[in-house]
Amino acid sequence: MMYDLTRRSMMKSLALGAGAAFGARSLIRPAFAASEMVAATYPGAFEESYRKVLLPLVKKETGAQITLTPVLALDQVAKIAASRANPPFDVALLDEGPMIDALPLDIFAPFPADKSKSNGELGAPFQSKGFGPTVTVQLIGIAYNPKKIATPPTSWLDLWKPEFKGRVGLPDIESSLGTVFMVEVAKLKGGSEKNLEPAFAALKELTPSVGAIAPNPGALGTLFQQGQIDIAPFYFNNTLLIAEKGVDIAFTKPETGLVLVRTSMHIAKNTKAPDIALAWIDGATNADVQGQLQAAPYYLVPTNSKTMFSEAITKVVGGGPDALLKNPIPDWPTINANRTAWLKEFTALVRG
Amino acid sequence: MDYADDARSPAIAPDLGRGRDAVRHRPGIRGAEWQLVLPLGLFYLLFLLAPIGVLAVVSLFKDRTLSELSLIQYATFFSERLNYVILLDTLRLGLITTAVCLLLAFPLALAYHRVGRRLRPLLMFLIILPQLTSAVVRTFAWIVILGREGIIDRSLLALGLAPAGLLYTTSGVVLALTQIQLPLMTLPLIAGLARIDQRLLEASQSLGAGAWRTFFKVTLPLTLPAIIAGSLLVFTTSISAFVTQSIIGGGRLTYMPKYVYDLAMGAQNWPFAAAAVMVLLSTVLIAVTAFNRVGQASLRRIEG
Repeated sequence: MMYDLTRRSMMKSLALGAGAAFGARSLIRPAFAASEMVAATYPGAFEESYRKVLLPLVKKETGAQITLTPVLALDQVAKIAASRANPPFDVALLDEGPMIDALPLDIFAPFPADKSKSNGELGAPFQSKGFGPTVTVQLIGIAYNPKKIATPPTSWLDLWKPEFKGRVGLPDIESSLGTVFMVEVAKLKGGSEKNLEPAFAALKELTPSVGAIAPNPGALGTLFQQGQIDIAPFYFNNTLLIAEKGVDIAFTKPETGLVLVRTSMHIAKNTKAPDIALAWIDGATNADVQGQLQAAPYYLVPTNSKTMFSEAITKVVGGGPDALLKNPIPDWPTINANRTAWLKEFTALVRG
Repeated sequence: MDYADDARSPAIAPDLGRGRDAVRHRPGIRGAEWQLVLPLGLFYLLFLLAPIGVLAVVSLFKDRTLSELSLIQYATFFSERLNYVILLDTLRLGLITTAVCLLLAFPLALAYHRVGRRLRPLLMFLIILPQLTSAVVRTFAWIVILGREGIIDRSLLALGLAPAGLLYTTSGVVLALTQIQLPLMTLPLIAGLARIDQRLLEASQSLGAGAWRTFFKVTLPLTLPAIIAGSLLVFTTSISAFVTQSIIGGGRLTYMPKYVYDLAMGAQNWPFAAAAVMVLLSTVLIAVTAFNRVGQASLRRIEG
């Protein structure tokens, strides 16, 4: 009896609540045709920061039901490609390499730059060029153990210095990190994205005495923590994250600059909610939002020129948004065309 | 020696070592029995065979847009030395791990049958203990043990010896895989030993054979089905142990699973990655079939 009463009253209040919510929603948001939107995000810092900062904001603005789903880049591409007519995500979040690979699959809608509120505020290389804009950049530089290495390294070629023999960590070329490192070394040795041979020649001298070749970028952090390596190419945000956990690790910008890897958001072709998707991307590129996303522990580097950089980011970039634009951005279409060949060459070389 | 009275106790061990009965009298699937395997069959069809079929199809295309059929992936695979080397290294890793597991598991399985009944649950718990934590956690624990600042190297240094430097070496990978896969060998062996008629052992000894001779002439041949079952389990799981191979092996030692991952995820070369999978799968199927045949042939020899 008691149970029945409780259940009945629960049902009643649930129904009332649902009705109220429905009524309120239909009142406040006549501008948006659809009421649901699914945004894909990477797991980890992206998901945490977007859930905390971006999600409440865009929900409030659009009144829509927005779902944030953590999915890796390739899964996003594969799932949208597998269900083109009814894409499982309305917005994809992709790094430059996977994004360029996804273009031939024709799964993104052109970005309505003229309707976007924040696209025009982004730095020139971060604005939409047909597809979505860059929401943040990952910075690739040199991480080192300040307890063991007193003078910060200044060049990628410092990894070849005899005093670091046996203490160098290298990422696998399978990752963007490893590829970028090889491209930068090639450039210093007279090569380019088209010609990686000088980097392979240099690597051949280095590999017999490296401390470790990490199977994935994350493993480099473990190797620093375990004292297996003292210097390695690494990501800015990963360095700060593990430094906060008490690992002796610092990040420095090589004299040729930090390499920028652009992370962009794209509207899926055939989305039922193009307006909400645009609101989501506009939110992610908004100056105030990016100001919050750059804070610890997320460290998502802003791409909006109106966002003032945090102290940590200013320090490593050596200035504000203008200084950021002076850093190299690799030519990914050329890189992607050669990756299978490089992967095989690298694998054969490091096996010795 | 009281293997026989034990036939009921290791309920946990799979019924893999059924040796003699299975060979003499092989029941086919008759009548309505096939309906019993229908749920599992459907499950395998949907989630195992169908995905493999998709991979087989993908491997027949020229590039990842999947627009032009071609056998180029297989032609490339067989024309590059690197691919063979990685494939052979992977099979070798499986064989070594299987051999080490067999050497460690056999004494353990024998010990299980010799200790008193009270100790058996404890021993069984210790045997399956490695399976009770996730492979990822176990693998990371091995980094802490094998690394430069790890337990092994620190202890060696403290004793005034040279550090072993096992992390990112083949020995390190074999060590970690052995620890993780050992139960897959031990459990079938325990079950296999339980099925040996203890009168055979008594007969052997009463006819004057010593403990070693009895082991090699009676115990070992009669546990052959269990050895085969355990070896197949360890071999197949070792060659496909992506997490352990890559985390303990590092970027330098590339085995087929990581190679396929790199090709598919890094290079985005799906057709070539799919072709590599098909080659690995075929090689393993051939190896497993051959292994089974050899095992059954020698079993028939014993029976006959």
